[in-house]
Amino acid sequence: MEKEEVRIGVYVCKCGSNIAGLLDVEALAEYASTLPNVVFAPWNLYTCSDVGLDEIKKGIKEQNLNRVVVASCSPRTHEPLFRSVCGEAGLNPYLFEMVNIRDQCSWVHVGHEEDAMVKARDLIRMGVAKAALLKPQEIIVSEVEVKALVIGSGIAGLTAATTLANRGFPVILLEKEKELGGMLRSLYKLAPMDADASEVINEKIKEAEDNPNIEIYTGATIDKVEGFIGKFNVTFSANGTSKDVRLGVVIIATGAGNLVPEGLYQYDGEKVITQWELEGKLKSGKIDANNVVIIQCVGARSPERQYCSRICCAIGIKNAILIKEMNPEARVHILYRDLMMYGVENEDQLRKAKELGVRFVKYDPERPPVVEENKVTVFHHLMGKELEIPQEMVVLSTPLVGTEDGVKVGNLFRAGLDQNNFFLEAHVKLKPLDCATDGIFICGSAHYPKNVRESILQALGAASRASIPLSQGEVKIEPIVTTLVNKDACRGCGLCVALCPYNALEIKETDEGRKVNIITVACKGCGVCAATCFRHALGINSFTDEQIQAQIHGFLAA
Amino acid sequence: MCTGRMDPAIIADAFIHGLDGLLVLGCLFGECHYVSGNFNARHKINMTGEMLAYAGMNPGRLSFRNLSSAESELFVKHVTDFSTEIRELGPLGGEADKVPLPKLKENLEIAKTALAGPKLRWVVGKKSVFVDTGNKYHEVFTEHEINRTLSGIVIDEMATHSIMAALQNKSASVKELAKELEIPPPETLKYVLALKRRGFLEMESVKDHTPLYKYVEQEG
Amino acid sequence: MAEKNVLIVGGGIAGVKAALAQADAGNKVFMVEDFPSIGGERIPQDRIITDGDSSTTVDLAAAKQNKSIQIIDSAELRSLVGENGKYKVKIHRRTPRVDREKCDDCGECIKVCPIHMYDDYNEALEWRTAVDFFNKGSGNYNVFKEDMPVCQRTCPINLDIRTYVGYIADGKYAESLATIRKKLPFPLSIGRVCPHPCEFECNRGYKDEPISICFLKRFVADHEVYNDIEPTITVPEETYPEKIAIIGGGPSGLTCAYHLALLGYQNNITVFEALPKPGGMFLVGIPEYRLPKAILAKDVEFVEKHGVEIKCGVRIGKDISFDDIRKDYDAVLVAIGAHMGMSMRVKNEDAEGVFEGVKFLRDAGLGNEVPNKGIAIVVGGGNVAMDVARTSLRVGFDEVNLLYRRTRKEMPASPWEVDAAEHEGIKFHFLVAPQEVVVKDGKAVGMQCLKMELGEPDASGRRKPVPIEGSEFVMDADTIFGAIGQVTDTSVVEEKHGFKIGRKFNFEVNPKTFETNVEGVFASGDAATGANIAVRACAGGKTAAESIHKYLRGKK
Repeated sequence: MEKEEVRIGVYVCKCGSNIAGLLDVEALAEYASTLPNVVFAPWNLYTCSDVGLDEIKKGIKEQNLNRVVVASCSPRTHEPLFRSVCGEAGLNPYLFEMVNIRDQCSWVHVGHEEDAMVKARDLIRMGVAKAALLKPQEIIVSEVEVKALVIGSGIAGLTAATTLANRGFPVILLEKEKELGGMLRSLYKLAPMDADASEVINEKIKEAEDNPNIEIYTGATIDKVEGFIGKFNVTFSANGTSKDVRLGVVIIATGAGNLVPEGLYQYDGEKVITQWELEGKLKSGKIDANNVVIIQCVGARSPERQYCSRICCAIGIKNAILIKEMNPEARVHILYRDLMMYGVENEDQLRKAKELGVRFVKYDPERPPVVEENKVTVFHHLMGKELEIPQEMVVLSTPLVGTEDGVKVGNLFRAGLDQNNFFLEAHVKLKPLDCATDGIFICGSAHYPKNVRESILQALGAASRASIPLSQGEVKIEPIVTTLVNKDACRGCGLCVALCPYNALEIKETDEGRKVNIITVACKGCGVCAATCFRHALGINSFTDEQIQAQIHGFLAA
Repeated sequence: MCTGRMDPAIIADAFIHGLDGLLVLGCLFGECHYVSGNFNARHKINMTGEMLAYAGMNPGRLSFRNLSSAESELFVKHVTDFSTEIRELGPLGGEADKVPLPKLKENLEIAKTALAGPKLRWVVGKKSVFVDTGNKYHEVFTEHEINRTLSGIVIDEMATHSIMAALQNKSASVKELAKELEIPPPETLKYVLALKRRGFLEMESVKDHTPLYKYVEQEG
Repeated sequence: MAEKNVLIVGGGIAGVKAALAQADAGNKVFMVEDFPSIGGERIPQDRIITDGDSSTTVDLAAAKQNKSIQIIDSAELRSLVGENGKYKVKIHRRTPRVDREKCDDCGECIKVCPIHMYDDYNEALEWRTAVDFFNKGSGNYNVFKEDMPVCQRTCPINLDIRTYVGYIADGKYAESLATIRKKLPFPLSIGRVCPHPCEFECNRGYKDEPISICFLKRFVADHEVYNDIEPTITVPEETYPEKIAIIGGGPSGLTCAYHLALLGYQNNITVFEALPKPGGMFLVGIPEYRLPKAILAKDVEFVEKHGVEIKCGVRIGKDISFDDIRKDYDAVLVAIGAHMGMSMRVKNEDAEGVFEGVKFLRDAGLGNEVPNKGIAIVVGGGNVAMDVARTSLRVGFDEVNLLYRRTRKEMPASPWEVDAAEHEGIKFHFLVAPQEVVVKDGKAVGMQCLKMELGEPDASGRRKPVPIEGSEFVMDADTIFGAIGQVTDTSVVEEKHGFKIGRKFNFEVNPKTFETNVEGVFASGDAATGANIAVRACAGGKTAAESIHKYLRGKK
């Protein structure tokens, strides 16, 4: 192929006053026009407006541009738009490069106009240098096996499974226990609507069992996981038989466990119990204590478990109300550090508890309450003295904790966990329901301690996210992935395979010997492999060694 | 893209082309956006720093620090601190560096070839595997042990790559090489023989009973 | 004629020729060669074989291609039993660490191999890489893997010192301690008392000072104690049913119990200890100032938590008979140590006021009443003598004199112990030999001694002390301690049990397996080796545990 002349168009955006308020955009456009290969460098008031976009299209047609650089805002928000405009004008979308002079110059360097201009020129020069070496890429399309796996049959798992099934997708539901239902099976009443927990969950179980699209396996463990979004291969065994299934997406709803506060506040499981054990007692209606002390934050927000379990305040207050309603003579104290009673209903609950006569005492973690035979001593920080509260029963509000089974599932699916063994979302704000690995979604307390309503909400969301690839039947993947740029150089050593965090590389026997094979669907383009390959056989599309070096040289060329 | 994409050879190349300081800011360990990429980055950048320092550059010019994307104040602090540090060091090849220009850039060129070469990339690439799960025989190595090995390789690689560079366009005896490269002759001899054994050098001719060696073009 | 299997040991020229001949005769040939390639010392091809002399290469190629010849290289013959026609051989093949099936001789490995080492083939003139070809063009690559590091080799229990010290350098203390505990359950105690032969071998010592291997062990073990970290206990879930009795709860017995627990005998191990508390010589041989009892208790507790039952105050032969033990247990380990002082062989040794040094240490260690007034004489120059002398000062003697036949240089005690003793005010008398206890009213009042000079070296390599005629003198004393060595009190067993007892009153054992001549009974520690250092006793215990395991599994 004959090497075509590189013709770069640079569009510098004023973004109203967002950029032009600090930077001299016209001077930047002028400067861009002096850079190598740049044949056209206009400025726009808003490049992302119809007028601006038209100008890009016009430039590509009239100026014969074969590379487009836009110097404006964040690629996170606007790159897809500019790329598609290039595509509409007949230019491969990956011959587009974006330079961020708003977030990185005009926003952060207010009051340093000169420096900001220098930096903006540097960034534009770097963008242009890289753009000259860009190569066209094609979007990668991969088929999706229309079947979902839901792991865990608590309220989150059941909700996700039935939601997907109701949309017509076949679902496999795995539960490690003998029965469906998870944690709700052993709870009593749910606040604030005073619903019976067993009724709620039984209704959900029945709905799942009656749904012909859901295949249910209890007593199940997952043995092996292979593949990637659209083409997961999962082997599990249930009741002694092993089964192999192909799936498109996975929803993890493995839930959480209850912390048993061994060694804390004289916990013995009889007179000093957890909220969990109290639920059981409430369920059987056996509360024969007139003086009840509830201690919050037991084993949570401590050096070994720094997080707040969020739901225990509401549970503590709910159970205090229940005790008061059963036996209005009972004296109930709640010893707390801070109260997490967010939302309108929770506020009402708190008020109701106070009206019923539940006493609230704030304690200082430096001077925690002391549980003794028949009494609890606590330092009241407002009164500045020790209080002695008589007790016949102490209830400890312990946090939900990550489970070993969760860790096992996390490792099998390469889904990241945090230090407390809760699943990590791909991005707290932008991808709160996805795992870092594509095609895997999380919901319920496996993600973080949640109440029933939040679990259901998240399950609905996860099911909705999961149904996107299922209904599309294919996934489109950005071609910013690893490629074997030099097949001859590859020795099939497997160094890159060991380092890939996404299982996106494998060694395959080919006619030319052992070579690396890239599973592009699984690749995230992190580039670890390319930076490690000692034969320089691997590269990353749109971030090749040459392009990065050109950018650096461009920067240093000033 | 991840800090794990930082190619050691590209880092060396940047310094050769006029960079005075490079600050790499990555995710917190255990919170890497790309799962484990920053661990890889740390191994690579530590090794690159050691190599470039051995070549004569002030080690303060390359730094790897970590923060989360929510720590804007820390970001500003890192960037401000590093800029101040580099301003104090002055331009590359000045008093702050062990070796002055233009010799420093020649050394950095050698370092760049070594960093692009197989040996260092292989060992540093294997480092996290060796420390975590061990080699094929499940022998786990301590980080201390690998770092010690890496330090040895840095010295070896600088020596062997300067020898190979010196013999690219001419042939020379061990004695001449030792003098030119300021490596003690017995060491030079061992490096030359080892390179010959591995097929990088060959004996070109014998002059006055002294063998002259030259570089062998490598395939692929 | 039916096909026969032929074994040829040695893959040199003669071996290759013989192999080809046997293969031609229709036999299946196995050729065992010690080197990684056949051809023997003939190599390297590029030097010796000239164009006109290629007969040997033809043979080699033919041998390699011949389907009837199986070449087993990097291997040696371990045993050969049987008789003509039906031999059974055991061949040991070293792992080449190269998959010869997959190796395509590309040579890339030696280009990337990061390890350089002196090439002993070329008399260290060259460097070679750890992975290398043995014979260029033969395609036979092999990986040279360093033997045990010298420190590990010197350590009686072969602790993986390089790894645990490296982990400390990495700040990974838990991993470091776990590495130690793979072999040794007493890091707190051994880290305090070991005379650390490893450090004298440490290569770093050639440069400046050896690595403080022993105290690093103490450091990492103390770190756990002082930070209240609960040690992790991992024992196999499945257990074997056999019951094992261990007589003696000292370093060797408890190490054996620990390893048996790790092997799967937890909750089936009973340790019988005669003293009121466990620990053996750790408890009663090593004074409090070197190994605090509370620290020792932590180590012992660690062993106990592995499902080891320790019954204290039970003396075999008195409280329970040895026969009962044999009856109730499937295997027995005798690890009773050496707690009996050796005689000084001087006149009036049985007089009042003359004591065995070990007994004194034992009483002091258990808090019993001990002599503590006036002047003490300690006879001996080993670490026990130092312990006795330094403990004497601590219990209240006004003056402690130590007699040794040779000079300070020949003293077997650790130099830092001698220095410490001197620093504390113990008076050393070198080149002095005791002759007779001076007795007044049946009670010792002094020691008559003889001055010595050094003569020719003796069997131990030390110069032999020779008496100086007429140099007798008397040294006053209220109490005299003999600390010239300890032996085992074998009275736990009787003659009818038929044990072979050695020269030093020790149980004679197979040095590899620590089996005694009585089936199912093993012996380790000082009881088997004679008085020795603690870590060696631990090492014996570990080996005994492995032997007991093999013995019990082999019986099945």
